[in-house]
Amino acid sequence: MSSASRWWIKFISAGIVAFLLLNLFCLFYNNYPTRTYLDNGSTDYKWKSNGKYSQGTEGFAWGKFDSNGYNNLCDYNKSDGIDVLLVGSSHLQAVHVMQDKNVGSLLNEKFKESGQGYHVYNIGIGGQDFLHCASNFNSTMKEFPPRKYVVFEIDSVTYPMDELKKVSEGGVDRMKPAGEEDLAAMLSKLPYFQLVYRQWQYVGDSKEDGSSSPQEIDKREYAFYLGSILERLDAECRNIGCDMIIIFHPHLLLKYDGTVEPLTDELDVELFRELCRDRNITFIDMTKSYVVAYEEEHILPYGFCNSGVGQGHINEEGHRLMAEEIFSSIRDIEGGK
Amino acid sequence: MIFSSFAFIGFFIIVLAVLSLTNWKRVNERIKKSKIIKVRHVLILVASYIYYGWADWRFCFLLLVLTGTAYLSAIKISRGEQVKFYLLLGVMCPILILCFFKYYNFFLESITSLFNIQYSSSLEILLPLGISFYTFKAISYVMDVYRKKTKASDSFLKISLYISFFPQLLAGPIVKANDFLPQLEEERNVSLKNFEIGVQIFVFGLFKKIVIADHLSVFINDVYGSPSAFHGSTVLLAVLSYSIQIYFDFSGYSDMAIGCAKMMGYDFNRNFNMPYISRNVTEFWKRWHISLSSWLQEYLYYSLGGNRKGEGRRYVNLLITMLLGGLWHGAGWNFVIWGGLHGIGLCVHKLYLRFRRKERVSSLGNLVSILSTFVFVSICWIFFRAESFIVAKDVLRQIFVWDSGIIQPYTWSFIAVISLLIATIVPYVRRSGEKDINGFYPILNLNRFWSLVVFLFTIGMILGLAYTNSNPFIYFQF
Repeated sequence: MSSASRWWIKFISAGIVAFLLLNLFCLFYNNYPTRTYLDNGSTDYKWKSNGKYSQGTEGFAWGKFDSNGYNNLCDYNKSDGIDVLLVGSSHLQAVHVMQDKNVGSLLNEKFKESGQGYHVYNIGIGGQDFLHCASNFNSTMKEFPPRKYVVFEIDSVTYPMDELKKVSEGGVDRMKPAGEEDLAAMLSKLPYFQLVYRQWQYVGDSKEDGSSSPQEIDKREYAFYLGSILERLDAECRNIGCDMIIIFHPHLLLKYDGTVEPLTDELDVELFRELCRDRNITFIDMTKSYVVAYEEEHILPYGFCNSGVGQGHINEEGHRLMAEEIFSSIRDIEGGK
Repeated sequence: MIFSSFAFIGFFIIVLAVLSLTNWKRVNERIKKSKIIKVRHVLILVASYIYYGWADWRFCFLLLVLTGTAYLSAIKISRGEQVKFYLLLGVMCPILILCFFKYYNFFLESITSLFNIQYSSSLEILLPLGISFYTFKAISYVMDVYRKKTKASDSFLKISLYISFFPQLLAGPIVKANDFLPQLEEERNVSLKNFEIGVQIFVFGLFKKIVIADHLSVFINDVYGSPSAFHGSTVLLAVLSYSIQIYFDFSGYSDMAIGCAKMMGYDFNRNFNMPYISRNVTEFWKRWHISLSSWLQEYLYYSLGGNRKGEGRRYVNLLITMLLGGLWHGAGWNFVIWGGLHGIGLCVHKLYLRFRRKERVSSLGNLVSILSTFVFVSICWIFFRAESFIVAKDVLRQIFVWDSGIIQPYTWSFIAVISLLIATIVPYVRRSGEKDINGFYPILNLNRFWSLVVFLFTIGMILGLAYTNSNPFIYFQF
C-alpha cells in the first residue's frame, strides 16, 4: 500500500473519530429529538414523544418533551383534562429556559398555590405564530379541549394581508420538512448535523420581519379579516365553554440614553385591542409590564447570557412576567364573574 | 471578499489549484525554471487584482498608479537621477492619495467646525479597501531604496506583486520590501509541506476570528450602543472583552494572511506576539501589530529625528508618531486621542526608565506591570472602539460611577478570557529557560492519526460555533 493510500485511510478514520467527538459535544450543546410533521393536528409538527433536548446556542437549558411531544413537565392526561391551554410559538415552546421556569410550569405552580388547582397545558411550538395557531385551532379544540381558558401567545399584532385572507378561507400552509422527510429525520438524529444545519440557516440572515403594517393597506379590509378570524376563534372557544385570552408581548428597543421603547406601533396594538374588545376577548398587553420591569429592576424579558441583550427569545424573567400577567388576568376575570 | 467568506475560500482553492499546475513534472521539463517562476508571479498578480477588484474594479487603477509611482521613483533614486524629486514623488504620492480618500472630509469638517464656518462641500468618497496598508508598503519600498536598505527592482511585475500580494493586501501585515522581494527571486510554490503548515495557521486564525471575536462583537455592540443602560460591571466586562475581541479579530486576520501566503510558499513574520503579557507600553508596541509599529518607528519616528536630537525632541517625536499612528487607524478624533494616550504612555515609560533603580523585578512586580499595562491599553481601546467622544465618555462614566443597570455576564467573554489565558500559559510552560516569551502556532504533524483528529475536530467546531451573521474584520475599515 502506498504512503498516500495509508494517509487517506488515516484521514478518513480520523474524520470518523472527530465526527463522533463533535456529536458527543453537540449532545450537550445543541440536540433535539426528531419532529413529526402532522397533516391535520393541533400544531404543524410536534417533537418525538418523551424526546430529550439540550440547548446551548441561546440560553442554556435541557429537558424532555412530554408524551405528546410538547414542552411540559406534567403529561396530558385525557381523563383529568386541561383547564388552561397555552397556544403559541417558539417563545412559548420555551426550550431556552429550564422547564420549571417556563410560563406553563410557573402557572401550574401559581394555581396550585392559590388553591384553584387549574391544570395548565402548553402546546407552544416553534414557528407557530398566531396565524398558524388560528389555522389549526379547530383540531386543537378537538385534541386538547380546555375547561376554562385558551391563551394565545403573540409577539406581533400585524400580519400580512394575504396570510390573513388565507386563514379566513381555510388556513395558511402547514410547515413541511425542509427536504425529503426520511432523510431530514435521519440527519436530524445526529446532533452535529442539527447544529451545522442551524448555522447554515442563519448564514447572512437579514432578520427581516415578514409582517406588514396595516397602515400600508386598506385598514378597514385588514380589520375585517383580522376581526373575522378572532370571531371564529372566540366562537370555537364558546362552543366548548371556555374563554379566550390573547397575550401580546412586544419586542423592545434599547435606546442610547438607556431607555426602552416597544418596537410595535401603538396604533397597531390599539387596533388589535379594539378588535378583541368588540368580541369580548381578553387582551393582555405586556408592554407596560416589560417597561416597568426594565425601569425598576433593569430586567429585559428577552435575551440570554450567550446572546444579544434584549433580543431573541423570552428569557426566565420574561416567562415570569408573562405568568404573573396571565394569572392576574384570570383572577380578574373570575373575580368579575 | 473577506478571508472568512465562502467566496474567498472558493477563490483561494482555485488559485492554489492553478499554481499547483506549475508543479507538474511535464511543465517543469519543458519550460525553464526562471520562466515558471515568472508565470507563477503573473498568476498571483492576476489573482491579486481579481481579489482587489472584487469589491470595486475601479480601485485597481489606483493600485496600479501607486505601483507605477513607487517603481519609477525607486528606479530613478537608485540611478541617482533627481533623487530629491523622486523621493518626494514616491513618498508624497501615496500620502496625498491616502489623505484625499481617507482624510479629506475629516479635515474639512474639523476645520469648518473649529472656525464655525458654514460650508457644506463634503465629498462622497468611497474609501478604497486596504488603502492604508498598501500606501505604507509603497512608501517603505521607496524609502528603503533611498536609504540603500534594499535594491530597486527593475521588474515591474515584482513590485506590483509586492504591493498587491492579495493575502496581505487589505489589512496587512505591512511586509517590508526587503523581506518580500528576495522571496520572489527564489523558487516558491504550493507544496504539501507548505500546505500542511499554512492551512493550520489559517484555521487557527479563522477560529480566533469567527468563533471568538465575532461572538464577542454581539455583546460589545450592545453595550457601546447604549452604555448608560448597563451596570458598571457589565460595561467593564465589555471594555475588557473589546481588548480581547480586537486582538482575536486582527491577529486572527493576520494569521489567515500568513497561512494563505504560506500555502502559496511565501513566509511572513508574525504580526502579533502575545501583546497582553507586555509589562509596559513600549513592550506592548513591540508585540502588537508589529509590522505597523516597526513601520512607524522606521519611517516616521526615525525620520523625525528619533532620539538623536535630545531628550525633549524624543518625547515630542514619540507623541507625533503615535498621534499620526492613531490617525492612520481612522479619520476621527477618537483615534487621535487613542494614539495620543499611547504616546503619553510611551513617554511616561521612557521617563520612568531614566529614573528607576535598576533592580531585578520580582514575579509579583511583573504581574502587576502586566495587569496595569493591560488596564491602560484597555482604557485606550475605549476611545478606539467608541464611535464618538461622547460614547467614550459615557462608557468611562458608567465604569467609574459604577451605576446600576442591566447585568449581562456574557458567556463568550469568559470563554475568550479562558482561551487567552491558555494561549498565554502554554508558551510560558514551553519556553524552557528562555528569557523572552514568544507566541507560536500550534502546528500539528498531520501524518499522525490523533493530530488529524484534533485538526478535523477544530474545523468541525468552527463550522458549528461560528458566528453566522456577517461581521467584517475590524481593521478592514482602516
